[in-house]
Amino acid sequence: MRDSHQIAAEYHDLAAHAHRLANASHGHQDHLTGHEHSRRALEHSNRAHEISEAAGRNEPGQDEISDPKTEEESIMSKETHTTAAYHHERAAKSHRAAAQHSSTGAHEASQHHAADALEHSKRADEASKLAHQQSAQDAMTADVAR
Amino acid sequence: MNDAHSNAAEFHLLAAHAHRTAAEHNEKGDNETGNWHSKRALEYSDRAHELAREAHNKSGRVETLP
Repeated sequence: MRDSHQIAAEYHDLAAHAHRLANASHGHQDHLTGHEHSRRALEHSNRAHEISEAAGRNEPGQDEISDPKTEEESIMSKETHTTAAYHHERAAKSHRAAAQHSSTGAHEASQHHAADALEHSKRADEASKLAHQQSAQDAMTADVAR
Repeated sequence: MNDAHSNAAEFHLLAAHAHRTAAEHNEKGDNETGNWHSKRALEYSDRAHELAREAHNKSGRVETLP
């Protein structure tokens, strides 16, 4: 079993990495991705703090501390699906707006929303593929572990 | 054209729902079930994207009609 301080250090590394990704995403005006990385950074930071405190108090049950790499995979998988769901919902909203404008004869507005819908749909499809790759990998890892 | 957009929206919402279900299972560590819902999400996503392209093409055609 690895030392709890080493595990806490790994969570701090993960938090630092997530902060760097958040900064890079915000720099590219990709605020949605930036916000996700920022949220993950806070989660990692909180976890690192909890483990550091427990290690400092020499609390029993340190062997129950989970491996951050396994936990990171689980968080990533969950978040890729949440991101994909978000893009699909944005696409659906734009499609509904396009349909609504079209039904009132506002073809220019409808076409604008249709273009938005297609853009969201592309991003949603890419996000779905990424999320499925992650899920398939997790399922395979779980299968090998059994 | 309205139908094309409505159909695309419907499949996007189905994909979103399947993704959220997959995320819930992943969070609980039930990766096998998560993967099952992930496959459904990908199927809905493929169909949604296909319908989105069709809907967009139809929108373009309406715009260019005399």
